[in-house]
Amino acid sequence: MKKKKVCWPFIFIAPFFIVYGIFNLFPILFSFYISLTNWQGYGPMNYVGFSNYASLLKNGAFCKSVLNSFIIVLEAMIPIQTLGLVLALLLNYGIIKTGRNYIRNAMFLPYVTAPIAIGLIFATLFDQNFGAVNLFLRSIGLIGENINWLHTESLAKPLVALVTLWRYAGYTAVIYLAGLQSISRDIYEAAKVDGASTPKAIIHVILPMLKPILIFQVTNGIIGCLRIFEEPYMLFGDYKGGINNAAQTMNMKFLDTAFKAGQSGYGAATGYLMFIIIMIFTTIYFGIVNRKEDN
Amino acid sequence: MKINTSKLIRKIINLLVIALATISIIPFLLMFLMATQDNQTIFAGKILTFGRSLSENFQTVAEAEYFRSFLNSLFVSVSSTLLTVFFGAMAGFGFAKYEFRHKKIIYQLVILTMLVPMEVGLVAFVWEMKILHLSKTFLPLILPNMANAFSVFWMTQYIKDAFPYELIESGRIDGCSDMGIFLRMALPIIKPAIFTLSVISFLQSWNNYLLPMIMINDPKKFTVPLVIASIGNMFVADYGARLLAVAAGILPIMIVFILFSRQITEGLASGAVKG
Repeated sequence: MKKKKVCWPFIFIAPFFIVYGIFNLFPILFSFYISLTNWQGYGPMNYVGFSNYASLLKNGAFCKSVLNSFIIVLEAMIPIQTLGLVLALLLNYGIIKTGRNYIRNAMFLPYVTAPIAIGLIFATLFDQNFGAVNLFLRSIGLIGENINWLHTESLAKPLVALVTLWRYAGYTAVIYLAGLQSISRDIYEAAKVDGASTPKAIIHVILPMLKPILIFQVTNGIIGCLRIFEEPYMLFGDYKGGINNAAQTMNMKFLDTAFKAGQSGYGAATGYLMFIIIMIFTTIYFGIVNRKEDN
Repeated sequence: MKINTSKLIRKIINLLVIALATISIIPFLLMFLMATQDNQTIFAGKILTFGRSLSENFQTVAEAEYFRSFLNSLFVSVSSTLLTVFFGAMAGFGFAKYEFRHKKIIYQLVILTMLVPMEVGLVAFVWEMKILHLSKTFLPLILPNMANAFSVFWMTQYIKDAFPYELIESGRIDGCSDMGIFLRMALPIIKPAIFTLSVISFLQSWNNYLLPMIMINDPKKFTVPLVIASIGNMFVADYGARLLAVAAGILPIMIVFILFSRQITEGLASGAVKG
């Protein structure tokens, strides 16, 4: 009888670990080995030590793609989180009364749509010659001549950030809304009774309680955004990320090296470096967040 | 008077947010409109009108055997969903209803796997699939879903509250094995969770582009996102047909979403909030 109790949970959770081991853990470990070789995707794997990593760190294109990713994260995450939080507050505290379901569903729709399709739709909308955006801006007299959105270096990253904002704002709002709803309404009422104005009650009482969700959301958003590749790929038509690689993200650089250029060893190193960069960043971020808590 | 102005401001904010929500769906509306048009209409800038080329565009898309990718996607998504949900529920049951040594650490390991992006192991994954002779099948897209950390986490949270421990005891007294209890008693009780998680997994699988792009070379095996990605080569200068293909590709997801929007939004939100 006692033996059975030890045995059953093992049977229930073992498949997860076996399958994870075969399809995820082994490839992750073996990719590290590959990253130490000059393998081309076929033929022998010659051990070259850490030279792939060394040359990656000196590779201007890779460093640029890292920088691009972080700039896009910054340009996208600040408006996404702000807008998402404001919308959730408006929805939760009864400012928005009409069309609540419409608002929630309409804004959530982009999130459930395939990113690859979103990239293509926006590439069409921002087309220089017949795109709806130029058409609209011209019709209200804001621009005289069509703007070449997709082939202007300075516009590439903001454009990716804009598409990201469009895709995630509603999703973020729904998550924050769920967080707000999990906070008891009495707490808010109590703060109001104590004489706090609505904004004060929200800033001093509600937001601190929302902090775990805020942190989770921002972390998740940043990690997701650092890995973005489908939207810029479809917007600019290749893994180079537009004019002068202006919007080539880390992930695009990785996929380009590992699978388009056929440099598997070098590509595996790119993937690992990308992972390490994300991890370092997350650790630093958590460090900052936790230190604030101590004060 | 003061009440009136604050009421007015509230009304204006409400309208602004409705307008904002409308911006979210305008790209889709434009896509559907353009899908009915031919190049001439699109180039003339009359994209706000209903075109007359819907059936022509449809024919172009159908002739390119675009709809085979639907069957491929359907097969991959349904099999992935079944595996994700079943094995997620099984592991979730194990974590939620049993006490064993190092349970907390093991559970945290599962959560930790969510933080490791799959890109890290991708190069070796492709190599491994070749060695296992799975490269030319759909299996590399399906089998890894048996180990889906999100689904384990989600199910653990749900089963903790939904399935009382007393039911396991009574099942044992009736002579049921624990696997029997899971299959015959737990699964029916957690049906709502199974349903919500199925819808979410289906969405994710249908939209997945990364793995199919790397694993599938044969155009006959293309899934919908792969076809959308290569649509530029398929319909070289036929924008109406292109957009019809995109519209058709995301329409199943839209329908699923419209039908089950509550389950999807609440399911995803509860996953994030509990995290």
